[in-house]
Amino acid sequence: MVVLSLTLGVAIFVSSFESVLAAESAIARTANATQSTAEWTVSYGNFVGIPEKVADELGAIKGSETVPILEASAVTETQHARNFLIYGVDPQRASHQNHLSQVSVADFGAIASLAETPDGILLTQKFAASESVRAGGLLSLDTGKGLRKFRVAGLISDPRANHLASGAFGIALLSTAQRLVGQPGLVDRIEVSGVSRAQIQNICPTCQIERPGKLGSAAQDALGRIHSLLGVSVLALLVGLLLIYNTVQVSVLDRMKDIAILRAVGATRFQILFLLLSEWLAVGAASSVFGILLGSGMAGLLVEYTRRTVNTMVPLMADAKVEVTPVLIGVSMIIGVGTALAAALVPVAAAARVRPLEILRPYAYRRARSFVPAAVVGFLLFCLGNYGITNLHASIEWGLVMVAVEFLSVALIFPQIVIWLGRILRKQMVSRASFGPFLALDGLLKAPHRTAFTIMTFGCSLMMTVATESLVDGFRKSTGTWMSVAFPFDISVMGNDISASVYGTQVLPQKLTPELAKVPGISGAYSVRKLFTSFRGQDVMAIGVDLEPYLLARREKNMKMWPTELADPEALRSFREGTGVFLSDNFSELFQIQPGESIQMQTPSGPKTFRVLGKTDDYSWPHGAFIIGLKELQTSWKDDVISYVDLVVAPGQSLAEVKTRVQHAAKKNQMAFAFDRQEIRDVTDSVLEQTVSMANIQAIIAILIGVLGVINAIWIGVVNRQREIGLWRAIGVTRWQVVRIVLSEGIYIGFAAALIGVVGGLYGGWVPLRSFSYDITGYRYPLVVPWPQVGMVVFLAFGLGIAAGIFPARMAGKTPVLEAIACE
Amino acid sequence: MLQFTSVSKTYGEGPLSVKALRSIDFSVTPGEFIAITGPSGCGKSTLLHLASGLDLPSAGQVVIDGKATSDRSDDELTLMRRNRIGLIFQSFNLIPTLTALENVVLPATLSGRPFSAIASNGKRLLERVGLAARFSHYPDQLSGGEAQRVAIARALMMDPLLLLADEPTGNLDSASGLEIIALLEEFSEETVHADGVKLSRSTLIVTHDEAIASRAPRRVRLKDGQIL
Repeated sequence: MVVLSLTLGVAIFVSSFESVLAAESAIARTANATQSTAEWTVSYGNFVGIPEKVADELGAIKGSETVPILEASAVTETQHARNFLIYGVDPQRASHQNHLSQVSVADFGAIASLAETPDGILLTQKFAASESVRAGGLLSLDTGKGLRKFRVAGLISDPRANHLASGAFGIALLSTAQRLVGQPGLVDRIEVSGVSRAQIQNICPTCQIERPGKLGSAAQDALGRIHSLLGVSVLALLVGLLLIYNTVQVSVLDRMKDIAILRAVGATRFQILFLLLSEWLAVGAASSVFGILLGSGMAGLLVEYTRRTVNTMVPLMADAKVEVTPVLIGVSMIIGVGTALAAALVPVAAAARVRPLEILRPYAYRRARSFVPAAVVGFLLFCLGNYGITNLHASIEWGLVMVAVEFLSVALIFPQIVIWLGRILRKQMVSRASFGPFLALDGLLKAPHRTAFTIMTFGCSLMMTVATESLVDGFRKSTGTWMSVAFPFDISVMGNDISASVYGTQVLPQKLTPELAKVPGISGAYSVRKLFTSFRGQDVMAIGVDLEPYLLARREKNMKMWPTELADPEALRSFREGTGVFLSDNFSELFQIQPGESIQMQTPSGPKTFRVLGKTDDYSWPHGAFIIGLKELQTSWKDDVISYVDLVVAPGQSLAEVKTRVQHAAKKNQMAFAFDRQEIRDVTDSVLEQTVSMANIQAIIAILIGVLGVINAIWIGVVNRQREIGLWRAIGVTRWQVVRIVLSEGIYIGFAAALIGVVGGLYGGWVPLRSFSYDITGYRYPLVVPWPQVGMVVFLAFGLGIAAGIFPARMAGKTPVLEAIACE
Repeated sequence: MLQFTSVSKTYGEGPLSVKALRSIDFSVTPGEFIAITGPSGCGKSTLLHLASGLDLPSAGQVVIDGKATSDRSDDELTLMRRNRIGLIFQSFNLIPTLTALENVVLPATLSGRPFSAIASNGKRLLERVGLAARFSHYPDQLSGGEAQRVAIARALMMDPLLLLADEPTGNLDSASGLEIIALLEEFSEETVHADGVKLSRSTLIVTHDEAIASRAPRRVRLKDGQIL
């Protein structure tokens, strides 16, 4: 049982770590492939073009090297539209900075052939094979400026390229890319070497200057979600730790007589300690090996979930490989052996301390002693952990340490709670109930530590699902309310298929809005532009809204003003003029900026100051968003495209029919996708579900550990009470009554675990998870009781509690009476 | 009341088998107080186990209340022990986490009777065995003699027709042992209401202590599994 539970504990850790590492390295490979040896990356921010002439100006500085790069998102014109990255570079300049070194500088021989192929593009072998494209053939891509045909100049021979961005990228000459994606004279970033930041700033004061290698915002968001998995594995390990502690304690208790005899015949305390700890060292080592093997297998499954989740946000991850590194093996061995030794230390030390006579005389099975001092320490630790979580606002790693402190503090408090509760229930049962339930309770109270840890193990494993779902439901509720009050649209048209990738960067031409407004059945249309810009070193989202048609659409839908401050004529005027903006609540929280204050943004047109007109619920971007008039956005950020066209369907019109017409009209000139509100909701829900499902896989394993703990505890209780059960049978307890008594123990454990699962889960969702979420995103979600999960947890707790009791109960029912009452 | 007819009991099989009892014929009539004596390993405890239905004979019949134990199901045997037989063990076999009173009323509560309804009877029995001040004490707070008195009270809780005691003084000093035997003698003289009929209680004590055995009106000596 110990080996199995420790194996599962290590397996959870290994699988989480491996899948996170695999995901990280897959994402990093993509990032590295587009990284050079340059010292600086110069841009106007994400998704905003910077004039190529800036590269020329920077290149004119003596000793400098500059590489202008255009990265454009596109969509393949195939039955299953795929996101595709066009990479426009100047091969001559790129080779100077060892650019694309990870893809293959050697392939730059092939890149030279691009010059000889009009509209040429180099593809990865994987992409070419999957799309059945050959060298010399044509590839149709929707670049946001309409469909464009590229001629396949050749294939990248380096197989590593297949692993980058799912292999769905192509290299084109910079001039070709600029022409075909409709960004003449513009690039996305310039990589610069041999100059100082001050020199760059002097030439381009409005530029963002960063060190290369920074992951994109979407990638960071995806990685953040993956990292949250580690939190679950930490909890699972803690759950496993208690189970192991339980098992070790019982195993040591079982051998107390042997230990007492050894002590009686002259074994020193140190010898006993050494003997027992050596055993647990071996158990820990063996379990770790099994855990690493099992965890590596499980990691494959988790990586697949991770890949799906990441790729639904941004297509960054492909062919992530699970690699068991020596470091991971070492860490896992340390964790496995350390956990076994840590769990064994207390009971083993207690066993070594015990006086032989105490054990060798009858009635060695003492009634529960008091754990009040431990409970007091636990309570203080709990307060400390709670304070740390809610007030320190530190890193997620620090938060996890605080959660671990809270968990361990509850482990210290809980045995005393079990004793107190047991005493109360005991009195009630003695006076009111029959002895069956009483004996079951008595069995559990014989070892309050074991009972407390078993309940905690089981309850905490169940708690994870309630906590996660509570937070997710809070998010759903908040975003649901936000969507219903903020958006008047029925259909939204966008450049990327959000069901394939949420953070697609494809854009639409502005002329599409009036075209779609003419579609029969449409009564209103407004444009929205979303782009990322840097604010205090963070990527924040700028949301440009075409105000007048937006207000018309709201009026048509009889919706109140949103943001509510727009009802104020002064605020409306300021927003219209472009001098005022609205902040999302999380922007306000993360940067501590309140309405009435001003914010200064670095824009391609120079620094701009905006007055904060108000703040509002907005869940567009976890690092903060601000809402600005579309015209002001386009002027300041020198942008002329849009991200969405939001459409209002006229009353009495069929949504499905109008949507078909919109889709048809939108696709005339470019790739565009129309979604109704429900579909958008479904997509966001599915991304949430995928993230949650990754955590749920581990929660299921943790529940398995919890159930093993219950079986273990009841079984050991039965073994330890063989003589007592024999006595019951001798004085008239039937087999079935014995079975019922033991099953009742499972019910009691299940009841208490359900209580912990629900109450602890709601607390966990309300305090730690909500605090982490607030610290990271600034979102404050309401407490939502996830009733289906609560019901499931109660059902699982009782069902699994009873199921866990079946085997020990059967064993107890078959207790040979004479042997049992004869045993000492 | 209790009839052994050609009862044999063999443990194990083949050449390593041990014959604990060899074709024993023996009966107990209502009101009898019998001491079973003999050296260690002569089959005394085996005889008691067969008499209580805790074990079944390898050959022959043990008849209690007119029905052979081998013809009864496990549940029937269990209910028979609960309602008709009081068992007393050498090592007391009290449940360490229950108080003296809770230990005493345990057999009665197994029949579904609430504690409150039987507590007074339990207290009365504890008072009778001289433990009026020990209701709430746990076994580890009692002396050996006191613990055995609790065990006797528990055995009497269901007002059994047959009291079976296996070396009840084996773990006690001689003074305490004599007190226990005196108590057993006292209780063996009681009449029991069974199925509307008044019957005298029978007591069977297994002991290797000749002094105690000599106090029994009837003695059965066993040697090598046979009655001498």
